[in-house]
Amino acid sequence: MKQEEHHTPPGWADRLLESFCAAHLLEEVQGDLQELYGKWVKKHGVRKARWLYIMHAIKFFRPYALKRITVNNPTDMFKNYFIIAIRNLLSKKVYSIINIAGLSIGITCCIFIFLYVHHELSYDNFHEQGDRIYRVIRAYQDKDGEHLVGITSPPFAVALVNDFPGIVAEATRFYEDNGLVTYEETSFVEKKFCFADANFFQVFSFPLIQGNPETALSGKHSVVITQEMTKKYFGNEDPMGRVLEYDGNQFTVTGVLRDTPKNSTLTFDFIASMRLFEDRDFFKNWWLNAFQTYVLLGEKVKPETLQTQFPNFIEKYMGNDLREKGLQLQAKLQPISAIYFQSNMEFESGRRGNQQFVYIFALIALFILVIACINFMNMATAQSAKRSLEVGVRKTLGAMRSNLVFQFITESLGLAFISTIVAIVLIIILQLYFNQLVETTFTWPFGIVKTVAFFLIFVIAVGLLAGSYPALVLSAFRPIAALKGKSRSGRQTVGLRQGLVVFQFFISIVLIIATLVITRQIEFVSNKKLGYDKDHIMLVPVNNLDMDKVELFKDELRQNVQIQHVSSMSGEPGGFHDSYSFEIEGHQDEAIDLRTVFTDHDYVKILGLKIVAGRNFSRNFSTDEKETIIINEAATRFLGWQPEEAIGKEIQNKFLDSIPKRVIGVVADYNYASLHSTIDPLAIAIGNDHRVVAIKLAPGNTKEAVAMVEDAWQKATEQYPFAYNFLDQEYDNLYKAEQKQRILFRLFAILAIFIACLGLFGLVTFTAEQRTKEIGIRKVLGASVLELVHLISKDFTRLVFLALLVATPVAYWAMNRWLNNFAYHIDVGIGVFVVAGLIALAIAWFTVSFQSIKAAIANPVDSLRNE
Amino acid sequence: MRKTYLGEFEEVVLLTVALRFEQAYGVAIQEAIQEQTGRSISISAVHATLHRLQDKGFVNSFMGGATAERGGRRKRFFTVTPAGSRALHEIKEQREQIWQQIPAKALQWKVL
Repeated sequence: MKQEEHHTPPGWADRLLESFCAAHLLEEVQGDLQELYGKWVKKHGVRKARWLYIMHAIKFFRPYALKRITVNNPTDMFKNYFIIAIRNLLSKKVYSIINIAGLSIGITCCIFIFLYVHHELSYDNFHEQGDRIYRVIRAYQDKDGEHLVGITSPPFAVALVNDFPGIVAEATRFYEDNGLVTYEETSFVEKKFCFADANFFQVFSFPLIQGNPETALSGKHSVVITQEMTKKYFGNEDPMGRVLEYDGNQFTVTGVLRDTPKNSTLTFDFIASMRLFEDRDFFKNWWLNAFQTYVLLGEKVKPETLQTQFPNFIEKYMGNDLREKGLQLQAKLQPISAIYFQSNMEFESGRRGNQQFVYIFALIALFILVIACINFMNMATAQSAKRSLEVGVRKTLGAMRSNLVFQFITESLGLAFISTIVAIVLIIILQLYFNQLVETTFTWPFGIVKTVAFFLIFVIAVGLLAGSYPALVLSAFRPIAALKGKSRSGRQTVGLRQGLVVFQFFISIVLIIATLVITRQIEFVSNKKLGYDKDHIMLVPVNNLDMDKVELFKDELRQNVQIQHVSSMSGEPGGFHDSYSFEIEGHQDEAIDLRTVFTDHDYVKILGLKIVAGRNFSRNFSTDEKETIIINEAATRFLGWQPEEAIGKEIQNKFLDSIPKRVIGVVADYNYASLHSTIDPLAIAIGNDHRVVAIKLAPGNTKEAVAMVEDAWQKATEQYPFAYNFLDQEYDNLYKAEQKQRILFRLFAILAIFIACLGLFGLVTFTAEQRTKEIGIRKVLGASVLELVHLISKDFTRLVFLALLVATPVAYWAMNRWLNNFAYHIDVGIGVFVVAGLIALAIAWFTVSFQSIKAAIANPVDSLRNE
Repeated sequence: MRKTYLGEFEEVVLLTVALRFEQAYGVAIQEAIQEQTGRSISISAVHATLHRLQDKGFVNSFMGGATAERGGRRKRFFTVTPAGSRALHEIKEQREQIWQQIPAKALQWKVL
């Protein structure tokens, strides 16, 4: 017996052989091997024999012995799958249309959002040396935590290159300015007239169309301009060598830049040579922070290498100053790729993005696609009873499970393919609208090969996502049960279907709630009592205009009866309010920062501010101009005073005032910043850093008034181009991001619920169809139409309620987080959830009622007539 | 038409098939080669060569009866076809012809 056992070679080696060896050779091969095995056992013993057996078995892995892949003309099978898929699509038109409509909307959404996300993530990725470019930023701590500032002073760049040879390959500065540019007779106010060092183009990859990037900015009076500006100033003429005037300086055009890429955080229309400033005093001042400093690290230098030396660097150049002022400062490096999404930087300009927003978007896109895929799954499994016959017959005729899976997947792939084509058409049509919505022009980022690959992958992904579950369920039917008409998996799939419907409505309801909350918050913001009057106030920016011209303009305006008040100021409410350090009576030892407005006597009047203590500035007191100041209530609270106590206290701006000023009035708090932040302590002083003239118009003919203001402007300034805006519009602009979010959320909510309802419609149609007989019998037995409608729709009502239940806490949490972006916001009340729930229910009922009423009023004779 | 080429190992296998006339199957051929030439060859190489010879038309094969030592599996017996036979004769004649023309001095060293 034992001897016999030794004659059995390792079974797994045999199975291995069977797995790869061609069937017609297997017998002789195994026979020979076993015969040899018997001999080996006698000669070498069992162990060695087994080993030899395995080795020799493996050696049969040769081309001649391998299994032939024997498929009898595979194209026939594919053709068959294809025909069946098309027949199925055509024979169930309603379901096909629902599926295709849902999927193509989902795919369209997804691709648009893909474009958006792709664009957002591509910021600043076009710089060839991008991985070596870092911005030098400043950081300081105070009671509110860490502050990061992206601008630095001019000496940084020079000192960095001198002190860290080898580590810092290049350092370049960038300064943004704005003002009037003149070429011969034409002048425009330019918002992006910038200055940069000569090595700017060696660090950044902004290609020049004309001019030499290495020398374009080396002259003291050189300027490089974009293509767009070339057209604007010179038309079709060659711009090279022409002279532009800016801020009293002549600049010669030495290069033409391609327009700044849409995904660049640095934006400019003109770049003039930084050398213009090289002799100015401020250029050596370590405290004049107005420049962005970028360093190009040496090859293979880690940023930490430089960053660890920064404390010594700061100590070397600013240590004494810092100790004197009682301040502390750190320098840091920020990779250029991080600039776009860094959200906590102060004093930033240029394009900035919101990373959270990008993620939320991507997530929503995915959800909408999933909702559409769920429709397909639901409808496919709902029809499983009908298709079980087909599955049964196919299996009886010898179809393997894998064949069936393949067949069903082919169907869903076909559907995904058609939907993608519809989606592409939709994208082409809707492109314009979408570009408007997100305010960028998107260009398709791929070439033709990648595009085809992209869509193919998309089709396959969607097809598999939607099709794999139904394929597995349907193909699992046992032929006997299936042919008998029993589909055992019915129960399970009903449960799953309901779960999926709940999921669809869950997402829809969350989106509805988000839309409602955002809308209500925006309404709240625009109706909030701000403490000042923003209506009928026209704003005219004066930029770098001389003060006497501003006064002339104001005098000109005051002569007109249509104008109630005129006031110039450093920043309108919602606009720029600089922070300054003050020395305040009773708080001498503390460094206290107050926000500031520099204005004239009419500021309080034009904004309709309320004086709660003391008095307004008055022209009757000549000392008011130099020696007095008004603060807001927040400041009195901050300083621990009652409003009345504040009057007469002395307060001095450490940087600007030579003598302390006296507080003569306290104004009630008004929201001079946006509602995103609370009202900080503020000081209002008469000064001459005026950037905007505010003009209060009498209600009535605005058009005429604007013409009149322009007239006065031309008289006072002669050459400056005229621009204006209205305070209430500017105010609305503060919440532009939120407005955009509202539009997008509303859009997504509508789409999500539309697709979900398509699915619901399909399911109800199917249920009604399945229950035709039941409904007929019930009707004959006396059920009313209302009862029948209730019978069909009650299940779905339950599902929507369930979805609402799940959506409520999720939406509550998410929206509270969103609202925390505002210092002043509404509470997410119960009302929102009730309204969202009602909307979802109403839409669901409406959808369901179509089919359920149709089924309920059908004549029972028709449904019961034939068996 | 170019004649089908017969490799050296193929020639040995083909000769062995002839040698084990009516008893030529995988293991037997392998053993015969071992005996005759001292070469130790894996069974898979023998199989591969036999099938190649069959593809070239030099051998035919048929399945024999089942045997216990092979776990009830049948043997595949090989026989030399007329084409195989012709090819062997031809090779032999060619060699003879060459041998006859070689001067004795050129090949004075032999296996002892």
